[in-house]
Amino acid sequence: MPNFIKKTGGKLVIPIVIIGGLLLALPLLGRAYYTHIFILIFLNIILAMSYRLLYVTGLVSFCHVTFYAIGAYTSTILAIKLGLPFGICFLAGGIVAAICAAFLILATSRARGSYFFLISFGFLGVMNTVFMQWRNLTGGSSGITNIPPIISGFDTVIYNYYIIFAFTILALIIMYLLDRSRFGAEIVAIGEAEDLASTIGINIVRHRVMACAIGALFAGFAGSLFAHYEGFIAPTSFPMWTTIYILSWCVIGGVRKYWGPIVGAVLMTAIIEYGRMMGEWHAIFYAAVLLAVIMAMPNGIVGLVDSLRVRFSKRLTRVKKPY
Amino acid sequence: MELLKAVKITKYFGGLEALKDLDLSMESGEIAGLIGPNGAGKSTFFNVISGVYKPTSGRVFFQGEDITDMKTHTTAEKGLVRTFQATRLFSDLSVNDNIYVACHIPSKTNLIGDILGLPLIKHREGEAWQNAMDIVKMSGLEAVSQDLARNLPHGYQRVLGMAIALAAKPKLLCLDEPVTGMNGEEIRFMMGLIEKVRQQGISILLIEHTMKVVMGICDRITVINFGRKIAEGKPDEIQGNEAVIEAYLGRSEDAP
Repeated sequence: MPNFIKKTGGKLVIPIVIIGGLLLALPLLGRAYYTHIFILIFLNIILAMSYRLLYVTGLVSFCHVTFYAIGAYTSTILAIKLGLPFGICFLAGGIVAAICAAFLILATSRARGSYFFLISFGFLGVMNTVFMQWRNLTGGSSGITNIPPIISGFDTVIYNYYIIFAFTILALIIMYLLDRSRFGAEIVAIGEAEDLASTIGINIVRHRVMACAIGALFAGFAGSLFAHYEGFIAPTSFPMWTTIYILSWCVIGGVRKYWGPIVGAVLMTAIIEYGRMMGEWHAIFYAAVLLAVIMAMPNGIVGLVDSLRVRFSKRLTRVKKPY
Repeated sequence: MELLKAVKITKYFGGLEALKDLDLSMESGEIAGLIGPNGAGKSTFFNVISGVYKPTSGRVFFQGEDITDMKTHTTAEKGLVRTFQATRLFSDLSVNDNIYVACHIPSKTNLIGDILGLPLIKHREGEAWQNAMDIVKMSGLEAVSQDLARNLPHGYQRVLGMAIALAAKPKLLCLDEPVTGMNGEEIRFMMGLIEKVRQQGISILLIEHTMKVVMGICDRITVINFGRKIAEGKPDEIQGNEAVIEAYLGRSEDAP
């Protein structure tokens, strides 16, 4: 952490403290509706950031919402059928999702880009069918109700807000450390030039398994939190649209820098919620924003910030020949 | 014991015969050349020994070990590292970041230690980083170390490609046309760099079309055409060889 303060020259410390303070005060100031929206934003941030891990290695998956759902269902089923405490259900949710992710990558290790995309879409469909049809376990299309809260006795929106906020901060810190690590640099390199990465000794499949598993782990944790917060889950809680949205947050925010998906998730969740007032127009508005980003800023908002920084930079470098 | 020993390598792509019964061996400390007309199968041979392709028949031995069926990242760990004919770099990363990533093998980190910042891991990372800085200096890339790889001029990009391979601490460095598209001055620089690499005890297998380079630095040369070996020997022997001249040296690609 001192590293990032050094890098940005301490400029970001004050804005972050201010934003942190506002977020901490929010539930006490605003209406419960806004508190609920922000809980969704926190969960979406985790989904976007965890999706980024596999995305940067060059594999575009269509089933991240499935890991979210697996986490939610696993945690719920353990809590209700076996009466296990939340902590265990929460961990199990993440771990089961991570194991599924590892299997997915291992099974598709020979698949090239678009084939992986389709296979992951197949996985989404298969799991959706499982959730729908295995009525004894998952409640089928009616879902599961009366899910025990995260901390019993502390089940209001405000308590849940702080719990989920705390988890989001923890998740962001862990993912920041990951990004700064050698592993973080290497997964980006795999996305840049896979054959070159192999040549210098990077085991592509192993890295992708790790990236997808860690991403699914956090998605599973988020799913567990979601289930125990809402108190009710069903297959309709995890529509295909969510996985499309997750992908779009990474595209819009950009993945070249760590914070890209955060911006994408916050911005687009706000647009979705604001757009509910627009009725049918909100889908068109969302699509328009997405198209504008793809055409004008192919590297997302991250890319835009970078190119603005370059343009306004006064530094001119002269290339000196070494010979 | 030979460093590299390729025995009767044959590679078919469907009905296309790319390599046929090719034998090639190298001793430690050598600079060996592999030449032949375009399409002769030189890059295909590199792909076979580095594990990108599995040969249809034949075996590859590296330091006595059979590496024929190993994947590319495993052959790299064993010490066989190759570069690419078309410039392959991590384009959107800076030169420093390119070399940092390339230090994957010498840094020997594991993920948990990496994240937690364990002291042993930090120490190994520090050593790997020092290694990286030495390579940047030796390659003359210090001045552009912060620049993005895709913004470098062509000559620098070729040098960076070689620097990336060096960062992986190879025992055998396989260079695929390192001086393509370079002018005389850049070629001289590259030749000096290759000599420095040899002095560090790294053996080199070189694919090249520029005869000045091949004849100037190679200890031994193998010539192939249509996937088969047509000659092998010291540079002066090759220059006088009838079959080679007929197949290849008739067209001079030299720039003075």
